[in-house]
Amino acid sequence: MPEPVRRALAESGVPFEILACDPELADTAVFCERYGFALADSANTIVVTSKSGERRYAACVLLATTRLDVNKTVRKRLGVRRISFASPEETERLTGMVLGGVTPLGLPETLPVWVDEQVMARPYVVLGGGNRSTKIKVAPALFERVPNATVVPGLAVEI
Amino acid sequence: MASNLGVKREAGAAAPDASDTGADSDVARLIRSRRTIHEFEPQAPPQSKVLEAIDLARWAPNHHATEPWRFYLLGSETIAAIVELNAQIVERKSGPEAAWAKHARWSAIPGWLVVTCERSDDATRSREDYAACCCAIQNLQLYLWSEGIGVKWTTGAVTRDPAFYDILWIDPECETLVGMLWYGYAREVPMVARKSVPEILVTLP
Repeated sequence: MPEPVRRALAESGVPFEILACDPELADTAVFCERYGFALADSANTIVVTSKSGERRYAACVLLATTRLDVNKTVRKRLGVRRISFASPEETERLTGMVLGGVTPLGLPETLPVWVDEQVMARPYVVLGGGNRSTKIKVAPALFERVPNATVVPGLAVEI
Repeated sequence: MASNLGVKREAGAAAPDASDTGADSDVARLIRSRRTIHEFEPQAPPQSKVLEAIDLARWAPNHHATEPWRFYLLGSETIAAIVELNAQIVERKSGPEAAWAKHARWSAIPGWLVVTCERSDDATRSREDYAACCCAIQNLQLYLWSEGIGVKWTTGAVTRDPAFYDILWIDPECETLVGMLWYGYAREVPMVARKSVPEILVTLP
C-alpha cells in the first residue's frame, strides 16, 4: 500500500480493514464477484477532467451500482463545458495510482474529492487501496476526516 | 433513420438493381450495393478498419471547414450501459418481455460508434454542419461496405434520453447526436427499392 494512503488511513482515526487482492481481479465487478462483496458496498474513484480551457480535475467517489451525473452535477461543479474521465496515464500522473487501485485517500491536497451522498449511507464501503493488490474496507465516516473531501448530493445516479 | 423495404437475402450475394447497367464503376457499384444492415454476425470487425473509416469520413464536404464531427468508439462497458438504458426505456413502454428481447438483441451487436455534431448558435451553420456530418457518415459507411462491413445508422429513443449523453460524457449543450452506428459483418443483406430518376428529377432550362 502506498505510504500516503497508509498515512491518511492512520490519521483518520476510523477503523479499517486491509484486503489483499489478486491484481488480475482488482477491477470492481470482477473483485466483487470473486471475493464475495456486493457491488452496492463497493465504491469507485473516478478522476474527471475538463476537455478544454483551463485544466481542472476532481476525484469522484461513487458506488459501483451508480453512474456519475455527468451533465448536471459533475460538469456544473467542475465549472467547465466539456468534461471527460481522466485517461489512465493522466490518472496515474495525478494520483500516483493505476486504474483498479485508485483510492480517494492520500491524494494531492489540490485535487478535490467529491463523495456521492449514497456512499455515506452504506454501513461500509470497499475502496481501492492505492494499488491493484490492495482494497480497503472502511465505514464511510472516513470521508468526514479526509481534508479535501466533500459530500455531494446527486453526484451519481442509479444505473 | 433508414427503413428497409423488400426481401432479405443471404450475406455475400450482390443486391440486384435495375439501374445497374453492368457498366458501373467501382464507386458506382459500391454506392448502389450498400444497404442498411439489421442482422450481424457476432464477430467484431478489426478496429483498424473503423479507424480508417473515420479517417476517410473527415474528408466529407464541409462548408467553412468547421470540422464539426466527433466520433465516439464504444467499448464493452459503455455498450452495456447503453443496452441497459435502452432496456429500461423499452420496459417502461412495452413491458419486461419486450425489454428482455431488446436487451438480448442489442447485446449481440458487435460494433458501436456514435457520431455527434458540434452545436452552433448560428442556424445556417448548424444546418450546414449537420449536413457535413451526414456526408461524413456516408463516407464512413461506404468505406466499411467496401471492406465487407455493414452499418446501421440509428437515431432511436435511447439517443434522446439525457442519460445517454451522461454515459458517453457528451454535453448536449455542446454536441448534438447525428447517429448511433452499429457495424459488423452482415448476416443478411436486404433488397430495397428506390424511386426512378425521372420521378425525382426536375430539369430546368
